[in-house]
Amino acid sequence: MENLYTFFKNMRKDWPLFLFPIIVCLAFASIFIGNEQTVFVSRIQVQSRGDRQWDSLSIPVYQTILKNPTVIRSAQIALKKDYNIAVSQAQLVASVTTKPVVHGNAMVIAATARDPELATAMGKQVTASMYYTLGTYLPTKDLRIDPRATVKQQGANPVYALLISLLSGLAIGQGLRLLMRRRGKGELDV
Amino acid sequence: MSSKRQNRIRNGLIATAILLVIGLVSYWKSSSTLVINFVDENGTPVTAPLKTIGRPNAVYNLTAAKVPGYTLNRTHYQFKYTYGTSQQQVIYHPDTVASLDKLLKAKYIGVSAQDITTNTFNGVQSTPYEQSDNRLRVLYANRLNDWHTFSTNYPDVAIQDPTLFQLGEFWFIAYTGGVLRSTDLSNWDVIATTPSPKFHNVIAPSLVHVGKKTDMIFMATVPKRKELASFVAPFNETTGQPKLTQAKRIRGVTGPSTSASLYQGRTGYYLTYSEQDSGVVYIKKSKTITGKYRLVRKIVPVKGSFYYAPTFALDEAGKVRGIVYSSYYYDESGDLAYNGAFMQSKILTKTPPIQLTGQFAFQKFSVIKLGAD
Repeated sequence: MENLYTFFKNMRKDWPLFLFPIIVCLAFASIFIGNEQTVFVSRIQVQSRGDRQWDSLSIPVYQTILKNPTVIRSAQIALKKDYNIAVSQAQLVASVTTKPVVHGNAMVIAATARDPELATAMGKQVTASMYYTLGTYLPTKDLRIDPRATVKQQGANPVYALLISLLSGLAIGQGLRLLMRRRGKGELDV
Repeated sequence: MSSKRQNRIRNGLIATAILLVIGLVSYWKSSSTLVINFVDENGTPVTAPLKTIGRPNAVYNLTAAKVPGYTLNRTHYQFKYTYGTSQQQVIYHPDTVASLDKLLKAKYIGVSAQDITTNTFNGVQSTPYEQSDNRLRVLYANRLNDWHTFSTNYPDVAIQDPTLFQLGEFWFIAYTGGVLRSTDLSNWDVIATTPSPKFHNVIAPSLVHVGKKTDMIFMATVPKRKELASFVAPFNETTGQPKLTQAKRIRGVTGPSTSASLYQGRTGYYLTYSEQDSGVVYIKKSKTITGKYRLVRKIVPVKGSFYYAPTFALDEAGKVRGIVYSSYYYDESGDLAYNGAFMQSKILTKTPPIQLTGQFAFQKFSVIKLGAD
């Protein structure tokens, strides 16, 4: 019966069977390593002024205004003046997304960038521009930016990526070794 | 040509095409951030860093801003940077001699902290990031609504809540964490306050003449409790350290507050502080330095804003010339936005506040009036 000790002891004999899967897994992991991004998520809530009802049905309509040139251009100008951040409108459009809302009373705006400060600044400024633009379009509604914005790190942790590729490389190697043994013994011949 | 050779060429071409497509896609999708820091000769940021996103190896053309009182070692202000090199520096050289000449002739001198993570726009500076980063600024003015930043090489130390104090030929600037000492406001002794077992953090300190001695007023966590309280301790000008073992609590500061300022008048001691929750500035009086202080006057902020960090403006003889306080509010994103400092020329009666304006939105501001009237 093979245990972990004998597995690692026997591995030395068939080292190419383990080495090459590990290399392939590492190569695959390298796509994700060094690709960490920060996502800043903020919300704008819309409420009718008279009956104080949340405006959940119209949120998908408001989402279509997010990438309107008025919003993007004013956010771009504010980013340069207030934050000393120079980004093109195309980069701003590419970095900012809004998630589809099925029900709920808030419009979700997410800004993604490698630099955490850039993500925060772009998210905050686009949200502020959207808030003021919506305010002029919807004079009968009360708008509010949710103060609980979140900042999240996205992407593979290099240590986890290396560990997982090492383990999957070993598993693939062992699979290959078992397959070759059984084929050698003729167990797989029909 | 044999079919074997043809196959080999065809496979090679397919592999090359696949690699080319992968390379092109990753090139178009890749982006890199370029950060350009604008610093003085000490490496202290002069303005907020410029951040820009671009494709690796693309060129970014920068026209550096003209900062009053500072020059670059070149005739033109055009720079070319390549994306991919993460941090770059533009070094500004201060014209200290000319600036010092103006400072010495000015009527007022003050210190404040500038948040160097963002810019001030229309007199307002908001702090959007989780951490702010402040640097010292010395300012001078002939008119209270027209302050100029003294151009020098500032110490590259995070400075919060600075207060100015003059003793003989020395200028002392007390800040949260330590004291700066200088004779020319260009060369700085940075003296970090040594914590004592009872006081781990000395917050928002200020120095004050009491008789012929110098005392330090500061906020600190009350031992064994979590609330902040104000204390007074003797200050040693030679070592730049307060004698924390002799610190005594000041009584009469009610409600949570983060800074307090004090001065010795003819008939007693005056204390000012602001309550954090309401933003109301209190001026209180007592016969002894440790109190208990009793209310003399309140300054209530306009709706939506909060006043904080009040300080007494003194002249060189130590006589009070007014009260200075700063203001902030929360903007539409819920960020703290500084909208400047104000000064009232009387402390016991209401006088119209004068807004202290300059090249950035002032945070805690400490003013000394220079020369005779």
